[in-house]
Amino acid sequence: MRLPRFFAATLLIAALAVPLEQGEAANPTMAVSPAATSFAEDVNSPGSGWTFGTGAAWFPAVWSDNAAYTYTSCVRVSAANANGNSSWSAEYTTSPSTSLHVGLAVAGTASCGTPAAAGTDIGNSSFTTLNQTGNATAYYYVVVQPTVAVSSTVTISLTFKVQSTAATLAITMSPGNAIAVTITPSSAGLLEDVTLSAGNNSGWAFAAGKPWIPGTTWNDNSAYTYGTGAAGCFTVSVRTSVQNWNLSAFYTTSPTPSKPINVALAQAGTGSTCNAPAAAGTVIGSSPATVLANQGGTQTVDYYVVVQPALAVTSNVAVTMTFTAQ
Amino acid sequence: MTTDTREDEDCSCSKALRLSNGNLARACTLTVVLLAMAIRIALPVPAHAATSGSGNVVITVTPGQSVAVTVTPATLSLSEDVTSPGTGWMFDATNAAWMPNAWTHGTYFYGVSGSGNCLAITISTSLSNWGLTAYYGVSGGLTSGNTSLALAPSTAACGTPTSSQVLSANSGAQTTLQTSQNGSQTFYYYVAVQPTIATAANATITITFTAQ
Repeated sequence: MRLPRFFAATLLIAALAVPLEQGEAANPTMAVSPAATSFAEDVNSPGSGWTFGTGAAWFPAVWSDNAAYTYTSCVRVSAANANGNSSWSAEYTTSPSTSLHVGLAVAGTASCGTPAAAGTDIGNSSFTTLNQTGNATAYYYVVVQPTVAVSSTVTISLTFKVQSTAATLAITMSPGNAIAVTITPSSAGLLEDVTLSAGNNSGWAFAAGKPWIPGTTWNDNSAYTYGTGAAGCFTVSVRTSVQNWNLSAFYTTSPTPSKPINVALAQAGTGSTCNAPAAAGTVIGSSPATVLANQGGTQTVDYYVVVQPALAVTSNVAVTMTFTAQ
Repeated sequence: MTTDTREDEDCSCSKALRLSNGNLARACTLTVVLLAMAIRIALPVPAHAATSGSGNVVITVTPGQSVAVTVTPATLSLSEDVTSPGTGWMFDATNAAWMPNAWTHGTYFYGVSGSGNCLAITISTSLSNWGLTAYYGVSGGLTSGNTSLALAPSTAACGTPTSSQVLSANSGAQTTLQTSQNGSQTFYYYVAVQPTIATAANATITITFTAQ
């Protein structure tokens, strides 16, 4: 039944006119600014206000993965009329559901600076206590670590709460280049010269019977290897926050020689390490072969590249190796 | 002016109040639509979404010396002296079993079992299915007409051979020593030299090995 409008208005005015009892607190409020932000799961261009990085000091220490997207423009969160000892808390949800982690790192109380300490890992549909209490203002870096490459837009609702009041930051995450592969150097000239005296064969060496030459697979024990020189290894850098990815490689030749040019990859280390491999390399062919499995986050892998021409080339042959992480 | 505290069924703001004339309800709906449009416009639109990443590296293979042959030692010195032919050399008056059957004269040979004194031919290459050939030439006090050469396969320890091959003196018809080889290899040989005259002047015998 609908009350007469005049009666309802009277009740409202009467309610507003009642003064607060002495000592009775006003209802707490919580505000979040901005109310929404968005980024692309793109390691190269995540979008305005967002960066993709590895091993930042503000990443929650409990994360096993070293890479994430950070909203460095800060989200300002403030609470008023709250009890002095009431803790702030936060949770997140995703829609549609996807696998990711969310962290919050305090970047300042008066302005948006740079967090000095590791952030707090926020619970999924479970409020996690933050360090702030009562009436306060805090500027946060928001750290999002998608552990899969999303194929459609995902909304992340990050809710801050003090006592019984809450405010939500809506983060829209859209698909992008979730994984990037960079190879250094991107090209290398190999002179098919066992003496290496006829020209500059920088980075390459010809040798027989080395442990990284896949002698059990190849019927030949000799090959040219890149990695033994001062230039060091071929370095494959994979930048991503995605977990459980594999690295595969294959190669093509142009023009196609009358006899094969065999290619193998022997892992020589990770990061900046380039040591002589102790084990035979993985032979790669025209179809992708897995050279590294079950990796998480951003990684750098160093390889010796072993090339074994089974013929004496009479003109230049381009061997193009393609590395794919997924 | 009056105020209606009921939820506005036309407005996306479920807790919004509506004035009795309903104007606020329409204004609220419009605000939400504009906000949604603003968010949509602000979304970064990726050029393409990718659940994998790839990178290329190009290795350009250019022609060079794809096969190298090294002979050790590179030079030998033989004295045509049946009693003292020189270091590493011996004179066999009756010809050992491994020497060519057709040779009826005494022969000088280089190679001492277990001493490391034999010829080592090292081929360095990544190529497959190559062969090794050889021929010899003579200059000075001897000629190919009065000097025969043979090579007898041995081992890394220069073990006594069991057979041999007579070398051709014709570069156009070289003697095949090895076939269907792959990659880098080293072969060991005894060298047999049979001059049929006593040379009056120094002679140079050059053996040329070719892998291809």
